[in-house]
Amino acid sequence: MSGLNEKELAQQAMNGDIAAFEELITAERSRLYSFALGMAGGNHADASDVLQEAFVKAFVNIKRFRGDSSFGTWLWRIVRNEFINYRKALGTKAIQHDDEEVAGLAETGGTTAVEELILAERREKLLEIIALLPPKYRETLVMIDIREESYEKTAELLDLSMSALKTRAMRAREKLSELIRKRRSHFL
Amino acid sequence: MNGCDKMTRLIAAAMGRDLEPVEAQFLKEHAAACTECREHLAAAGAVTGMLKGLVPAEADTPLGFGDRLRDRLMDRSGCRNWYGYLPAIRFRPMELGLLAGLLLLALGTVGFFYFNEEHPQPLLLTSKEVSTETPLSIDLEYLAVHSIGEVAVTIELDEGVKFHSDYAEVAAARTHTWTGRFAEGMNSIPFMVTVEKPGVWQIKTRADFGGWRHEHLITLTSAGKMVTMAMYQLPKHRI
Repeated sequence: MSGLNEKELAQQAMNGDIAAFEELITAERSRLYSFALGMAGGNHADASDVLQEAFVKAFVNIKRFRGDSSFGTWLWRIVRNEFINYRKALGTKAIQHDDEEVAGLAETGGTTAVEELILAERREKLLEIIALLPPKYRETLVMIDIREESYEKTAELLDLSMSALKTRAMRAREKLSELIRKRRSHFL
Repeated sequence: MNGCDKMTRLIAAAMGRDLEPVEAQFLKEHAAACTECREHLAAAGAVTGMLKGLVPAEADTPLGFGDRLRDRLMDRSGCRNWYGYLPAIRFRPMELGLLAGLLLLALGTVGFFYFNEEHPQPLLLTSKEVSTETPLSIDLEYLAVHSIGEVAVTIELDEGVKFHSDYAEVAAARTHTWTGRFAEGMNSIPFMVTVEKPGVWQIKTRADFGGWRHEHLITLTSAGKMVTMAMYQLPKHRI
């Protein structure tokens, strides 16, 4: 770590200093990757590709970072936008992932091997369903219901008013509820 | 909206812990009477339990993520050295074979022209046998493509040879330099020598003009009363 503050690091990154940029993204990298995993339906390859693309765009456009928000918030917005573009590019193609990736996403404790297998399969189905939601609902669900971020922080990161966020979260759950109804046999 | 349609919304509200008591009661009663909604409610309950922590709050990026990112940032910032691109170049066997073939062809072509070049050798201009009792007359000839203002022709003799001249100082010298102009066309510089004693002697001449040094080597082989002269023109070279 260089010991420079965010503003100084951003200034150096604007001058093409890659090490400064890497230091800037370090703080949010693992949280953003977790968000990316949720958005990509648990697919590591897709999550990694989108996050990398977002980081490159952030570096190229860093002169647009004016410091109105924190660098982290600015970065989150770029990642979000990248996922919207990414889904557009993918169209309606189903998200592909393998069983090992899904099984490894969440820790299981005190369950038998068979129960773990059933749980992993259900998680896979759930991630598939979440991946079918439009990005604006998916990101809300990932932030609030999966990552359990506060409404305040989520509203800031998603650049929404509190009431708009609550409405969107409610709509996201309704959409999810509709999909669960159609695929309820997977979870019984 | 029938009861089942309303259930989708109420179950969503339940997932968000945003259900009014009266709505909760309706949900309970409807689910007891409707198999599909009961299953829906059960499935939603299972999903709600799975949502929390479905992905870890923080996750490590895959191995090599940082390196790949740095590579891409370097590409975009234009600060990559030329050799930084080398690992990115990957040849298939066919391309590699073609490249090796082209390289061999290039080397062969260069080698062919290099080794086939005719390296300049001394050129025998004239050869004759004369008596040692009479002076030997020699003509140095130079072709000028245009007139040249100032030319110096220097003649150096070995010890067994001397200039034949009416001027004592010329006859006594071992080196003589002629200076003058060259006209366009053939220019002749005549001089005479006598061989004083038997042996193999040399006369070296050089003339500098047109950016080149023109040299002659004259060998005189004297045995008894006869001398054999051979005049060679040496390869000219830049001065």
